[in-house]
Amino acid sequence: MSCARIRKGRRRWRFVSTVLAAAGGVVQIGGIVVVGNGVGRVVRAEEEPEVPTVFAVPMADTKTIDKLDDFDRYVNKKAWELAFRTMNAVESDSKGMVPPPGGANESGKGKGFLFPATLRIKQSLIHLPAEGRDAYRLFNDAAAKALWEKVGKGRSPGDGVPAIPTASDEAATLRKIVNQYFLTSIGDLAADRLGDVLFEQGNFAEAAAVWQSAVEEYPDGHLPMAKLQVKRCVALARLGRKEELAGLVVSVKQAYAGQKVTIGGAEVDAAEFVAGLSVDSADDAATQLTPPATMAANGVAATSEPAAGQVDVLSKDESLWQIRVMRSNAMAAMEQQVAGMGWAVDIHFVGAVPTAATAGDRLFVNWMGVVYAADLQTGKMLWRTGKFSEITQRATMFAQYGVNPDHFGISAGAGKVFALRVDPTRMQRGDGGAYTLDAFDAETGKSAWTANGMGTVLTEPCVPEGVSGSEGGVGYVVTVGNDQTMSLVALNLQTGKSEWTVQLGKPQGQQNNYGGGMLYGLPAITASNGTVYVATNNGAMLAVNASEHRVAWAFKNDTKPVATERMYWNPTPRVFETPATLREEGGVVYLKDSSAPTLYAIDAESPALKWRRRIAPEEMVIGIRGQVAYLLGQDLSALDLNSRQLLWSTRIPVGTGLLRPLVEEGHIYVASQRGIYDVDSGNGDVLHIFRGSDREATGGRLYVVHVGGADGATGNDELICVTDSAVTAYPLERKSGQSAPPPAP
Amino acid sequence: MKFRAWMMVMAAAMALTLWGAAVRAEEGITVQGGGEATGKPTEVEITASLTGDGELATDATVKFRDAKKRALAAIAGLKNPDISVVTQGVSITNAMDANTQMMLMRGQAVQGGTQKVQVRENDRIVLAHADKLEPDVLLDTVLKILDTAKDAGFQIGGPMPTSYYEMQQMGGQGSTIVAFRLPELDALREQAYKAAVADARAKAQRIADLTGVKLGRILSVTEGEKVNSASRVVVMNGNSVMSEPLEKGITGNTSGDLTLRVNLTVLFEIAK
Repeated sequence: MSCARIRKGRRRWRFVSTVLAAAGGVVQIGGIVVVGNGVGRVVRAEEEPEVPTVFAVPMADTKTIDKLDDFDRYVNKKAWELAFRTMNAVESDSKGMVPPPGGANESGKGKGFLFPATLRIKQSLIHLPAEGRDAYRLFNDAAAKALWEKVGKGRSPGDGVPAIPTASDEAATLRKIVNQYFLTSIGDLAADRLGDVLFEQGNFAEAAAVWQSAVEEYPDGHLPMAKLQVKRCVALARLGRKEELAGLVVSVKQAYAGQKVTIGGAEVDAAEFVAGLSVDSADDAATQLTPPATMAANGVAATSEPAAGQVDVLSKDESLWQIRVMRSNAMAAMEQQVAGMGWAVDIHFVGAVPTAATAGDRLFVNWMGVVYAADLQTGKMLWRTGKFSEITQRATMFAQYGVNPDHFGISAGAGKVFALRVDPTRMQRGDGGAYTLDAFDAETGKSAWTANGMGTVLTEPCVPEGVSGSEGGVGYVVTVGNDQTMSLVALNLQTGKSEWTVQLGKPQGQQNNYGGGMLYGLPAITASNGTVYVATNNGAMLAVNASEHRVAWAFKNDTKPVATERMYWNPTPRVFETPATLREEGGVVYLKDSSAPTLYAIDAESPALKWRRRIAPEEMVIGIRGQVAYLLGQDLSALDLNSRQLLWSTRIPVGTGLLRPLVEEGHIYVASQRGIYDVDSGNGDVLHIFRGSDREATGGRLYVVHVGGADGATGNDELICVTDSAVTAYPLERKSGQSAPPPAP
Repeated sequence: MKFRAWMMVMAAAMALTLWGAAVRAEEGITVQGGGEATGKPTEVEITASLTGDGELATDATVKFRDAKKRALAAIAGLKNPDISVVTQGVSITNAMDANTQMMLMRGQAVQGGTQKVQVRENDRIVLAHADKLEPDVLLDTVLKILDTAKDAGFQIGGPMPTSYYEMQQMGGQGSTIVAFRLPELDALREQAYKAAVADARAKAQRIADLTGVKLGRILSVTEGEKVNSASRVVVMNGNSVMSEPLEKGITGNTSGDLTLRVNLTVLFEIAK
């Protein structure tokens, strides 16, 4: 026998399984109340503001909410005139958010959602009985038709009616009809036309949603359902939503086989047409707004993806090049500096992993405020914005002024590099504006601008894919002002000026022990198909319509408790914590706050809660492939999104929650404190452990890049590992098949 | 009546016993003899544990099951028939998440907290026939086991200190994770006893010679010091001392020879 002897394990394991199976029911039933946020950046408040208990979404005043209740009551009594008069009063003077109809009922799928009052009214109207609809049309058809005619005249000006000059105005008018007069006799026509306009603008997601609304929500419509469904199919194909499309195609084949529809001027068979639709890749489909995190995670930022059937495999434990910026124990030395400061020090350097971004053949790293660029082909440092020693010598200032080393974000795009930085010396002098968002020329490293006048910027810009260096390209950041209002700001990437701002609400922060001000959890942003999603990491997520510059809806979620009183004396260890999860995949938003035990799946278009599931507080979603989400906390796990069952789990020796693993076809790479783990994404088996050339690091952020050939056919693929002390490149090999043969670990 | 008679007999017997013991003590020579025997450790034992925890108990099940499966597979992958994993059973507890711990450490009130379920199994990874390996090979093998176990998800030894105060409590050192054992003590014990008896006899003989009496036969032997412990065995190796019940063998934390030391209290008769 050439295997180890294993004693007693099996019988005991059966016992454990039985006990846990029994315990499982109890734990799943058990409720939990968790609210709060993670620790983030300091904002100095000039005066003590009112502190909300959790993230406070601006709510409509009680007058508006009362009117909405009145509306529902009048509808129930069939007092239509009173109902619609009340409704009009709400529409003309409504600010803030309101719960959905029946929102007080905590069991529904609308639980936790908040909407603008106008959308809330639309939701109420959809459920009117036939008698109510007739009454509604009696009162509102005239106004709706006037707007509808305006759109028609806009397309063919004349008769003294002012023409609508631009497509956006047409969309706005159509949207007004759909939002306010959806139930009128022309509501479905307006929805259909709005879908066309949005589709032409490339906003496929909203177009599909509007068409879906016309099909499913508009009663007694005039439009041919087959055509609307075919249009939905086209939009879903363009969005790359394979499974959603497949389901709809089946419905169209069953319901409309043999029916002719006119698409693009040609008459086609509805069933045959949808059957022939091919799905765009998700990456191609997400052309409008894709955050840099997603871009880099897919290796898109710098390069090309492997062809279908091929997979990038790390096969050598030898580095191609390495840029060492710091000795390996530098973080420990900085930690030692702050350890001597006495009580209540809550700043930890060990475990911090610098953020990085890729663009073209370059890598940009933000080493706690010192930004540097590396040439991915040669492995040479191209430029840097300062000396690293300026940071290492100021460790105590970080602690004194509550500067968290984890939170120096960076992103790149439009020929620039955007970095969150902080100058503790300005805090020491009592100057304002110590926290800055700085832009540098990606080529030279020269300073381009510093964002001013928008409060403290909490996130690096989320730069939509395809944004060029021309004027007008915007990125999205989350800021907090002196009045503690959190806002989403669309930032002109060329000038650093705010193009527009949407107020999101007020987060709950915690007092900074030393330097004053407030510490906030770090929000997350992602953007897709015309909507910017902001997870406040403080108990709320908000969806912002980027074309209308307004909050479309908000969702309240579990979050961790906030330490509002920080009178403690013991030095505290670093808490293992991962960033907030916010990912949009196929129309579903996956959300989880840092250190909160609940993962949510939200249908972004309805919007509605698809499901929520308890997962370990320290876990985050690192990638989604098909119907499997991969989670990383103390373990790497696979979660089946259909059954919500944990498929497998693998213990990875992670020393920090700030890792950036890669989920590739057949492989998951995790830069742990014991090397780069190559894990089979199918079953969690560890295929190989690459100890690498940076062995003292706590962990790293990984990037796949293609260098030396813009077409992807030439050049090389590299795995880049960014740690606290170095940047190291390893060669990747493109292989066919799903996974590499498993060498002995 | 019968009871009173029985009590009187018992009292008389006890008095006679005490008197007899006193007489014997006066008639004998009592000495303590020490004996040592040295042997190479034959087993290397690594303290390890496997855990799986989750918000849902079913998640803890999957995590623990997979952790165990992968960990045992990795050890088996070493293809060394002398390596075995001995489980010491599982415990199921409510694990406290890091943030709750932090808040408690700060003296803050914790509302509810999360209810993670943790399954923990304490194990011993045992390398047998360690005495057959050359020192360098033994070291390489042990370190290879350590690396493999860590890579495979075993928690080796106790947790590392997370704060200065925890470090102080641990004396500034980590816990011992590798122990060197000699589980079979029959031969060693015989040598040590033999040496202890010889030592006792030599001491008694010296006393007899000095006092001009003749050393007689052994009247009694008590293992350990005379004071009150029936058995006290000190196990030594290198510069450290570890003790545990003798029947489980002897253990040290360095790879050098292990020494079994026996103390006997021996009463010799003074021959007439």
